[in-house]
Amino acid sequence: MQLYNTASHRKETFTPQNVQQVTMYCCGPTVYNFAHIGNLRTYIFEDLLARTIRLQYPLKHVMNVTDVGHLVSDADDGEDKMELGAAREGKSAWDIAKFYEEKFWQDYDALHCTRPTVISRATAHIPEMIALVKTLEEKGYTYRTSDGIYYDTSKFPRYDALVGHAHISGLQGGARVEMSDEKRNPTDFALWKFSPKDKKRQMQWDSPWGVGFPGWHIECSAMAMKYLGHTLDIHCGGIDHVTIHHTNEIAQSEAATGQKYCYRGCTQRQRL
Amino acid sequence: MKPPPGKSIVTVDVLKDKGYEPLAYRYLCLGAHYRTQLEFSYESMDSATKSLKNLRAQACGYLKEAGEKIAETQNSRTWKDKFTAAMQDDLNAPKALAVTWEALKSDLTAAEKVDFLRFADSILAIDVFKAPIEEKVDVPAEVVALLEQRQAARVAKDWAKSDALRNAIASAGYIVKDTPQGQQVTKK
Repeated sequence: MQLYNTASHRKETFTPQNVQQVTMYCCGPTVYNFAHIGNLRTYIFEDLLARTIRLQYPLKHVMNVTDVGHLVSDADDGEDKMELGAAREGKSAWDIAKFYEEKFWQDYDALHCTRPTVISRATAHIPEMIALVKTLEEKGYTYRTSDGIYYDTSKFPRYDALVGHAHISGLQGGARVEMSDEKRNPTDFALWKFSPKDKKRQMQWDSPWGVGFPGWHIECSAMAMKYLGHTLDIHCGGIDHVTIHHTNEIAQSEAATGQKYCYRGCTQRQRL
Repeated sequence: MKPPPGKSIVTVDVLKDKGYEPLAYRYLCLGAHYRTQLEFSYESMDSATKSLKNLRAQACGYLKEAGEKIAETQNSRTWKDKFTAAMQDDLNAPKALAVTWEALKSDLTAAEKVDFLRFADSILAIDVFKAPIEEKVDVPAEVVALLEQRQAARVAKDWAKSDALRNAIASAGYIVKDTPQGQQVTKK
């Protein structure tokens, strides 16, 4: 089987690490609103991939459900989409998550997408996320600011591997992102965010660093590695995830384990 | 629950409300390679719906024709392999879909076509053997009146009048069929 590898920018022969079980992780929905058909196109493509792989190999397909911590801006700014949805509809963040997740699976089934082997909700994996941040802290990849624990991307030399050096140096010029005063590098990202002092969040947990919630990127790494091991065969997601989300997932996972995160890179679809 | 104000997003429910089947959207997605941009429009949904209906009508026809004797043959295997090769080439679904249409036009027997289609649909997952739903025909009032007169003529066993009314209905653009459930009308 030939598959395009986002990391190498070309089609490659796909050979799994273990022919007894191919491992595939797919970035699932953030359940704060209805999925639009462009979102759903990604799951149709992932389903085609799953069905095609299964012609040859057994497959373990893991998909997460982001029900906390995905901020309005990918650059760790703005409000949590879940809390925003709750405010919009006058419901609790937990009810919003439950409602839109149910709706998501209805749409998913209606499009005949095969249900993943494992569905992992972010809120059910907070201890795994905290453990991963702790590992990164012990290895010296983190620093603390007034609003959270951040990953220092300058300590990970391969940070630009997925998107290319030009893209990252463009960011470093400050052209694309306004940098908060406390971030050491524009590409640094939050692993754990503290709850605001003036406002009680609906979704928050204790941690060794203080009450707060996980960063969106650490969620995927913690869940993917829990169910599929340190190195995944295939990581799927939308093309809009390449520059920040998947780049950050790779950086934090490989820094924590010292092993390659994606064995055969990430496959992406084009945006609808 | 309503979507947030000020933004109209296209969801599966929106498609359903407009009368589209969700699987027509899946069919539409199959027609574009996953690494290319897909231009969504309702015109493209219409055309996907039409193709899907056509595919199902053919598949159901072959299923009926094939009867019980469906098994893999050397020939159907060859077409399955072509289909698999397309999918294994970086998930070339548009090609796999084209192979499916070619297989229908090929000299495979009805039973071989059914065998191939069962396999293809295990990947495409668009319910190829789903019987097309009879379209509800919007019959104009004057044709309804003719149908009622014809029904009365049939009850009275006036076959000449019944046939004359059938012709009148036909010239109005509708075909009437007599079934155990009564008269059924379809657009010409």
